[in-house]
This record gives sequence, C-alpha cells and structure tokens, in this order.
Amino acid sequence: MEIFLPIAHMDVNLLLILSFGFIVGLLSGLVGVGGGFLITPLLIFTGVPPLVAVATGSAQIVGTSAAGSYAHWRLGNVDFKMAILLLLGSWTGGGLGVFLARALQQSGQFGNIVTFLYVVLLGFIGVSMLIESVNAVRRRTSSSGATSDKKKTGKSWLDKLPMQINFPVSGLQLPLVVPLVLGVGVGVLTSLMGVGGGFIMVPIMLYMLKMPTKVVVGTSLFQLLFTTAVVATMQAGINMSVDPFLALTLILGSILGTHWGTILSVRLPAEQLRLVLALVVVGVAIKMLWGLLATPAELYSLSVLLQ
Amino acid sequence: MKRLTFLFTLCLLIMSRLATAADHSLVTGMQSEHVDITVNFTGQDTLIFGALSKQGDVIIKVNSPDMNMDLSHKRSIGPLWLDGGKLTVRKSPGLYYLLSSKPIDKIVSTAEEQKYGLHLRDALKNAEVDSTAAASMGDWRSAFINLKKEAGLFRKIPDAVKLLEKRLFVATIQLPANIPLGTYQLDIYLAQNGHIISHQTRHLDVHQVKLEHWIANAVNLHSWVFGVSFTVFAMLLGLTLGMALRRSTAS
Repeated sequence: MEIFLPIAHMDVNLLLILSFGFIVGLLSGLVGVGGGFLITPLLIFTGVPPLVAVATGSAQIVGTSAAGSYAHWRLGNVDFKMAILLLLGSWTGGGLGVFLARALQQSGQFGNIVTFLYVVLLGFIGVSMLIESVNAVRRRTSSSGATSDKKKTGKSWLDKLPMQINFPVSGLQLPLVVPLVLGVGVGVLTSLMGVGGGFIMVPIMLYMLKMPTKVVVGTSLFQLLFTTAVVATMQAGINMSVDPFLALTLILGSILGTHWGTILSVRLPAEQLRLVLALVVVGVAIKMLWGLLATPAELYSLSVLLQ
Repeated sequence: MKRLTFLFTLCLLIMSRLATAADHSLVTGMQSEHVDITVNFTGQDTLIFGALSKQGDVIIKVNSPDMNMDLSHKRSIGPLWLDGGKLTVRKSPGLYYLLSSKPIDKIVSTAEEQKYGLHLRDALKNAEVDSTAAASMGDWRSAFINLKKEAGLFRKIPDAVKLLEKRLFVATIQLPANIPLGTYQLDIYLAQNGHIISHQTRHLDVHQVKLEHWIANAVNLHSWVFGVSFTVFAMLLGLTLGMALRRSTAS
C-alpha cells in the first residue's frame, strides 16, 4: 500500500503511517500528551524532510486532540477555566518562540539547542516522573495512605500571590499568573521543539499544580488542540510544509488509537498511566542522548535549502 | 517481449531515417517524454533508445534543474557530536545520472570526460558556495556526492546502456520516487576512439498530475487558505470520528 506524498515528495507505506498514528493516539488517549515529541522523530526516521515532519505532526495533533478533547469533555475531565488561561499564555509564548527560533536558526545553533532541550527536558521530566510513579505504584500495592501529607509541601508561596482564582473542576485555588506564565513557557517550547507541549504541561499540572490526573489529561488535550491549531495553520501558511495525505493518514490512525486509549485510561489506575508516560518520555530522552554521544555513521547531512 | 518488438520496429524506422540523413551519426528516441507523478507513484523506468551510424560506445547524461541545498557537518566537541557547520550549495543539479555502455574512463579520454562533464564530481562544477564556509567543511564535495548517491539521485552505471548488433542501443533510466520536479536534460553522446563524435539532446518533463498537481497547487499557491481550511477540517474530522467511535462503543 504505497502512496506518493505531494508535499513531502516521497512514497510511503500507508499502513506504516497508520500504525504510527495509532501508537501516538493510544498514548494521547491514555495520558493526554499530543505525541508530537514522538511523531516528529518517527516521521524523520521514515525519511520525511524535518520541516514537513514538524509541520505535519502539528496538523496531526489537531485531529487527535480534537477527538481526545471531545471524549474527555464528555467524561467531565476538562477544566475550561484553566485551559483558557493556559492558552492565552501559550499563544503569546508561541509567537515569541517563532522569533527566537528564527534568531537561533540564523546563528546556526538551532539544531543543537533543540537537541539539548529535548535531552534535558525530557530526561528531567521523565526521570522524576518515573521515580514518582514507581513510588506511587509501590505505595498503592502496600496500601498505606501516606499521600495526604504530601499535598501541602511547596505550595505556600503560591497562596501569597495576588489574584487568587478558584478552579472548581480541579478543586484548586491558584493565582492568575501561574497558568499564564506556565502557558507562555510551554508556548515558547512549542515553537522551538515543534511539539504540542503536552509532555511538559502534564507533569507540571500533576506535580506542581497538583491537579487530579483525570482532569490533567482532559485539560492538557484541550489546550493542545488550540495551540497546535494555530501552529499548524501558520506552518501551512508560511512554510507550506503541511502534507495533507500524510496528516490525514496519521489522524485516522491516531483517532482509533485515542479512542482505545481513552477507554483504557478510565479503567487503568492513574499511577500506572503516569508510569507509561514516564517510560515513553525517558525512552525518547535516552534515544536523543544516544544521538549526541554515539559516533555518527555519517558526519554530513543534506537538506533542501528553505526559500 | 512486446516491448522488445516495439523497440525493434522503432529502431528499424530510425535506421531508415539514418540512411536519408547521413550527417547524423546518432538518432535517438524515448519511450515517453514525460514522467507523471500520480498518487501511487513509486518511481518509474523510462526507456531511451536509438541507432548509431558508426560503431562506438554510448554515454547518456541525465540531469534535472538546479537546486539549492544545505549541507551540514557534525563535529565532536568533548564527548558530544554537535552540528558544527552548514554550507549552502547553490546551483547543483537535483539529479545527475551517467549511464554508459562501458566504464566511461574506458570510452573517452580524461580531457573529453572533463569537457562534457562525464564524471559525478562535474555535477558540482557550477555550484556556488561561500568560500570561507566551505574551507571549514572538509571534503564537502565528496560528502555531497556520496549523500546524493545514497538517495539514488546521483548515479554512475557503466553497463546501463546495452548495444545491440553494434548499431542499436537501449537504456533503461530507473527513476526513484523522490526525484526532483522539472524539465530534465538528457545528453546522449556517441564516442569512438576516445572522442565524442556525436551528441544529441532530449528532454524529459517530470511533473505532478491530477490530484497530486491539484494538492501541490493548493498548498503552494493558496497556502493560507489551505492552512486554515485544512486545520479546521482536521479538527472536524477528529471530532466526528471521535464522536462516531464513542457512539458505536456506547450502544
């Protein structure tokens, strides 16, 4: 089942792309990440030009997170107040990130910075999540209720900030600046790394804001949907690098994956879901680190000059 | 077999033409003058054939329009391998094939090879680079050619041209799926005793057709309209399919 991609300008196996979509969708439904950090490397590995991979990846996340957001919205898992504040931040941050990316590109350091960001961020987040979730799973199996005293640590300074807002869906009270700043930070990273930012957003919501896992997944997906929608439109408009065939195939696969992921997410315990995300994040970080450390088989690489 | 018969008839036709136009020692024909890239395009073979009024060897040079490429180079800094430089190579052909009936250095002299660009490194003869950037890139020409070879875009095949009865030749140009678009130039040379004695030029038009053409146009010419509508479409598709799947599981 070969199909010729009009924009990536190459032929690919439809079933392979469908299965990529399915895997990413499954992850998305399970843990609320868009899977951008996974789909972009997968596409590049298949031979899709990097810019097309990044841009098409964001178009795919639009489709996937639309399905996922709807499913979670029906389950009552979206904190809209939180999501909209985050979005205001991430749109601003995303805009800033585009200029930052251009400046880095001109200095010739873009590739290195992006790789470092991936290794450091994914590594840090992944390892801390891994430790946390392994502990949580252990606690659960030994069934001791030691979680209650953990909630108070590290939140006192947040309570002192002005403009406290209630987030009833998450059962939280937070100052206005927290979701805004968080949104800006994630937005910058979205532009730089070509990802939806779910893998950063999810751990922050879980561990810093202490939002309930189920709400985290729904809210993250909803925020992702509208961040990537803007990014995908801009990528198509400015860089003309969204491949519609590739995007549609990925979306079809990922929607099936998301569907099953969402169903599974309701049945599986939250600790195990976090463990899944942690393992995937650590895996990608290790892969990226390996790319930096291992002697490359080919020292040179060739790409078509952007107009 | 059918193809061969067809070829043979064509060649007979060409031979008869040769007899009337005695000054032409080389007459060529092509199976098709265009390559149509459709939805299920996975590369294409195209035949080029012809007749020789004089005995000799045949070299076919295929090159696509020039492209601008970025070549990047990794360097080790401490324990890490980082991008250590980038070189923009302007005006190099996207595709460069050299097909011949014998190894080219056995057909023509080095001087002729240079004159007609019959070596893969000649693909970079007219390339424009920034000389200071190039100085820090090591042997970038070899790297460039090797990467192009790996992608199947630069090729030198010394036995691709088959000579039949010393007066006819036929060659299959195997084009991969990732070929650049545009009008390709095919130079067919007839060589005798180390010299090119006859030369013909033909063209091959590689373009996207039908749905591929329509989509490429929409993406490139109306990029914002495409961007907005495709994003909305992706969102709606996600929503509808998500809803449909939920319903089917719920019921």
